[in-house]
Amino acid sequence: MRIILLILKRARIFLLFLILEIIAFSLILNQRSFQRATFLSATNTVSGQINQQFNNLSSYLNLKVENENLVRENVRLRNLLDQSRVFQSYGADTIQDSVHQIRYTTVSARVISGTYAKYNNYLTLDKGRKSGIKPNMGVAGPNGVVGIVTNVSQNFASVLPIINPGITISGKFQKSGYFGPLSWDGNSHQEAFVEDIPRYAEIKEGDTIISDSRSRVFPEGLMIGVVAGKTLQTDQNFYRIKVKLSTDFTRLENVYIIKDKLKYELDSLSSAP
Amino acid sequence: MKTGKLILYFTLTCLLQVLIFNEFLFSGFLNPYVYILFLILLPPSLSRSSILLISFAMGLVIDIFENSAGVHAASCTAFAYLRPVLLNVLLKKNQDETRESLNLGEVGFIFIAIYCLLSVLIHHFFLFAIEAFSFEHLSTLLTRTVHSSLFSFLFILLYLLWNLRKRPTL
Repeated sequence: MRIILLILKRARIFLLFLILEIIAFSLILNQRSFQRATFLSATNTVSGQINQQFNNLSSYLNLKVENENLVRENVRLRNLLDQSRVFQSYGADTIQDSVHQIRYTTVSARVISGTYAKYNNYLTLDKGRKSGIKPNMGVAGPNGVVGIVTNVSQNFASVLPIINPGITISGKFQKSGYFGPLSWDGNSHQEAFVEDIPRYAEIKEGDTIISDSRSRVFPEGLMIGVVAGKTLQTDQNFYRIKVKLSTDFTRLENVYIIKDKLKYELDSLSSAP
Repeated sequence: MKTGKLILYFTLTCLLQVLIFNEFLFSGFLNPYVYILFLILLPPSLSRSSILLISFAMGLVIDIFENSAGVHAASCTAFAYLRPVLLNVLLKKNQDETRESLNLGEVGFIFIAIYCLLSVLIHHFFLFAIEAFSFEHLSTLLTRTVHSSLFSFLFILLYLLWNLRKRPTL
C-alpha cells in the first residue's frame, strides 16, 4: 500500500498530465463523432455574444465590398423577376398550379465568426432556432454554395462549410451534366475537388460547376465554382477535377439559409426500406 | 508573481489572441498563436501541477472561442509537460527550477529567444498534428508547423525586443 502511495506521489505530475490530456482528447473525439460538443461550441451564448460584438465593429471595414456583392446579387435577382420577362398569352385558361409551388425559402443571416485557414473550418451565423433554423439546412452566399448547418441554439447556428474535410456534397457540371462528390482536401480555401468523373467526359477549364439536388440540401443550380484543372485518378478511368470555389471564405459576411419544404417528405421516402 | 497579476495577464493574453491575433491571416493558413508566450514565460517557481492546470485552462479558453473542441487544450498541456525538460536542457542547471522568473538580464537574450523558438515549434507541432488527427499528410503538417511557428515567433521576438531595455520578467 505504501509503495503504491509512493509511486502515486512520484508520478502525480504525469498522472495530472494524463488526466488533462484525456479530458482534451475526449472533447475532440466528442466533436468529431457527434457534430459538436455542445457546451464548448460557438453557439455558446457567452462566446457568441463576444464574437458578435466584435463582428459588429469589423463589419464596418468590409462595408464597401459587401455592398458591391449585394448589389450584384440584387441585379441577378431582379433579372429573374416576372417584370423583366415578356408575358405571352397562349389563350389558355388560368391554371391553379399545385406542382410548381415554392419549395425553397430563404432566411438571411450574417456570419459572426468563422475560420478558413484551419483543417476543420467552421462558421457561426447569427440566426438560430428562433428563426426556424434546423440542422442539415443548406447555406449559400452571394457567390454560391457555402455549407450545411450542423448545430443550432436559440440565437446562433454553426455551419460546416464546404472547406471542411468532414463534408461532401454533390457537384454537377452545368454544361455536360456529369456529377460527382465534391470534397475538400484540407489545403487551400479556394480549391476543392470533384471525383469520379468518367474519362470520356469532355471537361474544359472554366466549365461551371453547380449544386445538384442529389445532395438533398441545396436546390439545383447554385454556383459552386469553375474547373481549374484535372488529373486522372490512380485507377486511370476517372478524372479528379480541381474546382476553384466561387465563394470567397475570407470575406464572407451575408449568407442565406435555405429551407426545403419538401425535405421531410423526401427523407421519409428514402429512409423507408 | 502574485496571483492577481497572473489572472490579469491570463485574461489579457486570451483577449489579445481571440480578438486581434486570430484575425491575422497571411497567405491563407498562417495564423499566429501568440498566447503561447504567456505559458512560455510563466515563472519556473510555480509548481509543475499548477503550470499544467494553467496551460490547460488557457488552451480551453482559446478553444471555446476558436470552436476547436480540445485541440488547443491538448497541445498546451503537452507543451506544459515538456517545458521543464526544455528548460533543464537549455539551462543545464537544476537550481534554475527555483527561479522567481525568467529574467532577461540574468539568462541572456539569446537564451530566451532560443527557448521561445523551441517552445513555439513544439506547441505548434502538437497543435497541427492534433488538429489534423493523423500523420497521413506529414509534409503538409511540417510545412504548416514551420511557417506558422516562424510567424508566431516573429511577434514574440517583437515583444522581447520591446522589453529588452526594461529587463522585465513577464
